[in-house]
Amino acid sequence: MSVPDHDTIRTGVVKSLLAEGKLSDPSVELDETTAVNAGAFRIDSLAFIRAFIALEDEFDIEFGDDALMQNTFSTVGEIVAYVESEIRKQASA
Amino acid sequence: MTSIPTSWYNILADLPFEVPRELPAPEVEGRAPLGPQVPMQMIRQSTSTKREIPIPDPVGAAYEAWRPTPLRRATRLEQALGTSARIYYKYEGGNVSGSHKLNTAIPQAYYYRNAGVERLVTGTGAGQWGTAMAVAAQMFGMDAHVYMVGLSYAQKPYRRTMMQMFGATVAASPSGDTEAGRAFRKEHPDGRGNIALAIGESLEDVAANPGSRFCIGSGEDYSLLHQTVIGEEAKEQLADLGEWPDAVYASIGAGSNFGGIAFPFLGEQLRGGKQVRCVAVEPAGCPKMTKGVYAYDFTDYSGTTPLEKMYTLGSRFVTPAIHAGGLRYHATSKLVSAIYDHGLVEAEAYAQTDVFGSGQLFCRTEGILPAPESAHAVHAAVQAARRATVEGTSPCLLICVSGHGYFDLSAYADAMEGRLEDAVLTDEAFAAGVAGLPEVTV
Repeated sequence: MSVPDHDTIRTGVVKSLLAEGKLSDPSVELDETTAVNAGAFRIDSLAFIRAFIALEDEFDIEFGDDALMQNTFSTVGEIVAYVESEIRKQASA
Repeated sequence: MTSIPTSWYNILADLPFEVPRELPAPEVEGRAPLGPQVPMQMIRQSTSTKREIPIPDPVGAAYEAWRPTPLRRATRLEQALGTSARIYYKYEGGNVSGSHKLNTAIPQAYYYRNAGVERLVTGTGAGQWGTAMAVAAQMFGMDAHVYMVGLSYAQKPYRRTMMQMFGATVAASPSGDTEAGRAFRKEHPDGRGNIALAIGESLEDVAANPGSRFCIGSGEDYSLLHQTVIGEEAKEQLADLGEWPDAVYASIGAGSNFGGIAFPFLGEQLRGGKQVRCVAVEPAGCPKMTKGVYAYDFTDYSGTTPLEKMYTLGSRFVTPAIHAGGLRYHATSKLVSAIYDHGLVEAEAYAQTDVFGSGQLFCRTEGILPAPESAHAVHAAVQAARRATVEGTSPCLLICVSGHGYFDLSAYADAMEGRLEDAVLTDEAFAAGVAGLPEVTV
């Protein structure tokens, strides 16, 4: 399985988060420094999980409940890093 | 012979419309970093459009302890009423928790445990959900903590004993353990509480205790899905008797026993099959469907949850002291609400003195004391049976007796001795409740 590059993963994460969450200021761009639920971008926990389900389809991977439930995320960058590490882990398995 | 279903029925596959999505919770200063609160497996079930969702083997094996549940014809009730209607009931009280709530408590505990959760926290109204959750948490090796609505905590101490027997700890809500509880106590010193507050206290507890997660017995799509084992079995049992219900009656709180028995029948109708009336029965003291508004609202008292579009009396609505604790929730689920809004199901509201009268009649004739919640469904069916006799018709009526009432004998004693009062929705209470509805932009 080929591993998508960082930019592709970041783009996928941002797209999924925007599809499920709400950006109160449309002029703000979601990037890796954007805070989750502490500024312009808000997403509730159910929608957040739906975003991960969309990412499973996009990158053909599976997030395990046991690993995902033990993590918390403060910024979009932390989510991108987690998704990237899972993709790499599953590609090398 | 009826078999235990191997899959749950997902009505989303057959609905001709989309259920309105929830909206994010309002921003709160100092909110903790975001982490998943509900296992992905359960969210997958809530978003799936597959008609059949397989029941995992360990859950199916646990169901075998009491399922399939009995479906019986209430012949002695029919005789007592002298009715031309045919009345059947599906009895869900024959498990250790005493109600249908175990149908979803077990799969929820299974999924949370698989997700590495060590402690489950919840709010309970009448105590049925708290008991079921305590049983299921212990089954899968987790701790359980329950915030029990203060009024029920005082009225039903042996519910608390049951939860404790399965290792759960129980706090009366409003408790002194959370900000939400302390604030509510100041505002409402009678200590009665309500389920919306108990949920709010649970959420605050979970936020302060890593490794804990909140779980909920009704209202979410996945809990309604798990309850469809009731209707799936009932469909097969009635078909074996050559019957199809003209009307299905179930009480309505947040919607899980109603959805559980009604959706499999409604699904047949939605696919172009036989017609059925599905009637949600609510207390006149908490008439969210017959008197409430269809609006985005909070699902708990704290005002920090995502907003769901529901038939609601407002999350700040303080329910009168009615005995059907499971029906005191200020709203009903977004799924049932959307289906009701599209005119696919009906709702009726009844006063509790009449409801308790029908509950006693059912006990004397059928030998099962229905929970006060279930007695609402019984009462509505009794009314329909009486109408049928007057009209000279012979409809087939199906009742969901969602639980037993043996922990509610003090309420039945009050009813028998004329001490019950009929709580009604006052204009002031309604106005105060809906005044708290959040302003939203969709």
